[in-house]
Amino acid sequence: MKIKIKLPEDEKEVETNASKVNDLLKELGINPVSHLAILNGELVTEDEELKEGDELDIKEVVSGG
Amino acid sequence: MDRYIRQTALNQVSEEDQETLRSKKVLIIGLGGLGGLTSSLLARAGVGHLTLIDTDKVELSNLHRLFELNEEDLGKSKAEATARKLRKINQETKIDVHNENFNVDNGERLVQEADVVIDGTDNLLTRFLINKVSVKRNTPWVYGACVGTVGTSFTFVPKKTPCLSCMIPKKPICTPECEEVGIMNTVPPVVSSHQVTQAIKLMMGKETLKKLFYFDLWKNKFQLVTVNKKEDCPICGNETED
Repeated sequence: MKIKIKLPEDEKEVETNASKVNDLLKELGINPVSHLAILNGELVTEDEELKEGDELDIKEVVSGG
Repeated sequence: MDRYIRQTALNQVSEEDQETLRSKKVLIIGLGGLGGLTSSLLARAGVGHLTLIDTDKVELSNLHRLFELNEEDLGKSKAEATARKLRKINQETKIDVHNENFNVDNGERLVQEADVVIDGTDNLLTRFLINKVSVKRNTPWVYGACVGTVGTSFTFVPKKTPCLSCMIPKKPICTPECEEVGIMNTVPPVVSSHQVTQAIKLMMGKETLKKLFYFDLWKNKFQLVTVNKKEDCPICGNETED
């Protein structure tokens, strides 16, 4: 299925067999613990299911101050 | 009240709201780029009582984003140097200073004494402690963080909103730090301004934003993200609105 993915430095559409957010992040080499996964505008946990046409926005957890 | 006439001229702020601010106490944890400006904005807005806590000393590399401090403060306690400036800004605001870290020994007492807690820390471990104590004491707190050209903020209200552990369920071991990737000095004021606006609304009993504010100032991207409460959250999972 096709997922539109927004990374901090990139925005692209990926073809994937990953069924969950966590699987897709692993495919992309992204550590799920240090990133926020925003699926279609809503923050989700890494075990959230993916479906065709989803838009996944990946942001780094911000800790500085 | 002449001092605040430009504030009470706002449709959103009545003279009664202004009096309410004078009766409130805010705990500011961390006095770097975020906490320093936050304390100044709150004193200037007329909040009656501020408690400042930070164990760090002022370093030269801090001065590009610590707007209330200057070269004469180098080597001095951030909390004490900030308090000295605040007393010159508004003598009506009572300032308490704690030259120590916010920790498990002092956290509960400090949070319990405050109406609102504002996060000016530079690490997630302290934020998870603030979250735990704030949920336990039923005290709202306003998260704020920034690095590089990115900033974020969320207003946590126990029993009404998700908590930090709902938003970040697993504690990240490694996140980008200002020491490594830098920080643009225009970013903390945006975060701090958002935090203080939310805190003022909380103190006045007005509705606050229930979404995560996340922005990249360099890229001109500003987003509001929906965050849901996790029913099985180990920190707030059993907390429900009365």
